[in-house]
Amino acid sequence: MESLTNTSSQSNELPAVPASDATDYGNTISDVKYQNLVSQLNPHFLFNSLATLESLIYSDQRLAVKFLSQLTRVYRYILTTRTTPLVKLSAEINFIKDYADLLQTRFGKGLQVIINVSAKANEKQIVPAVLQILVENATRHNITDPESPLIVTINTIEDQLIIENNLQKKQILEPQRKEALKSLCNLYTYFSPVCIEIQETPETFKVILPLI
Amino acid sequence: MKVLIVEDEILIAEQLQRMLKDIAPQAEVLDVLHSVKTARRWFMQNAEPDLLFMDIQLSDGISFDLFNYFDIKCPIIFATAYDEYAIKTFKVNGIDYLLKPIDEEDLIRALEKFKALKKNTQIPADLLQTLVNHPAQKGKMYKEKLIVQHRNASIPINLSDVTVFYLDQVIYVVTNDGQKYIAEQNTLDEIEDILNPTDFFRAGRRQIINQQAIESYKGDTSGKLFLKLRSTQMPEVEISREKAPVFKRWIDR
Repeated sequence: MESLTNTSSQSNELPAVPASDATDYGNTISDVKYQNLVSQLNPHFLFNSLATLESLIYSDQRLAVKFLSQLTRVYRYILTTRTTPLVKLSAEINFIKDYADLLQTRFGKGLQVIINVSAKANEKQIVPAVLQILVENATRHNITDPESPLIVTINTIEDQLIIENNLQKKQILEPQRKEALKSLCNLYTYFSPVCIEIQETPETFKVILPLI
Repeated sequence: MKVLIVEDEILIAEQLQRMLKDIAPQAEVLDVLHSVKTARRWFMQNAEPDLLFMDIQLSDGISFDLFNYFDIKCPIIFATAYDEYAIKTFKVNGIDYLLKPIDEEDLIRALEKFKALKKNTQIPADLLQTLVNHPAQKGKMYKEKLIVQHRNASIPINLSDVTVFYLDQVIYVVTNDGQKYIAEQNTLDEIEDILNPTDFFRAGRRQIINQQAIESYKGDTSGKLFLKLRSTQMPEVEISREKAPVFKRWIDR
């Protein structure tokens, strides 16, 4: 259990020690589901998306329609996977593409999400909406400025899903949701003998998720 | 009414501009800034707008950070997606707080509040303009010469030959050829009154400088400016951060 290499994560939301024995599965999974819901229903995300949609209705109706259907799909995925412990990576990737598109419409060139997943890995499973938590975390804590864009890459290496971003922290006012990554780590202990690994250097923040 | 918009999401800023155009066509949007960094640069180089629209969480930080650098006095209407910062905004000069997507009725109400506030606290801009353009002001004649006393004689000095007036117990008049005289006037205000404001600039409490005498100027990170004058005996003249934008507009005509 030494894979949690660095506790001073970009969000400071990591537990010092992964707790696998103290929490029962039911509580942990409901924690994660709750966090997904909370973060997906993050009022800033929702209302900023609606404000963007309002603007698009005036300026670019085609894009407005596309934006609306992506927003719909994102919320539908969150709701339908609420009771599903695991989903295929391919489904999660489709979901995160929609989510990233929504963010990119809002942030413009300030954010790039690069996805490169092998066909074999796509057949593996993952806890639903995990990627959303991680991508949102990255945009919440880092500068998304066209002059210095935030670049999030999602890659697979064998049975690992690697989510990495350049670190350029910004000051944030939103209240911290300290439990998100912690619950996620705990949850993974039920599905995988391998823990979630988090690596932070001065330049990058990397999360390695075992595929199941 | 000059308006500045600080909002990191371009599309949302565009929508606000559209709404302003409909509701308040007299509003002139000076600029739309997307980050704390560009806003900081803007306030260093420009005088305050009449009204500031400001998002709170920006792409590179929190807009409140600007108040650590600038003494922003203009009224501010904050706009944010979710109302958890409301209390904080009123500690600065927030006059209203809008939630996104912005409701047209709310925006109208905020602008009325701004108008009411302006009426109560200051001379309306149009009246001010009338006063400035008043014939009595326009036709005002500025002096060309200043008479100073030197060794029991009266010496006329061409104002165009003056480098700087500076206050140090008394008011000194320094000319381009390096001569220093003492002015009869007791305050720099009295001197300023007879000078043509296009030629002379009140650099602070202690100095009035001639535009012709400025050799160069440079800024520092705090937003202050330092002027180098042609007369070599004179130390650099400091221009405060607040006055720097006014100076820049004066010199760049």
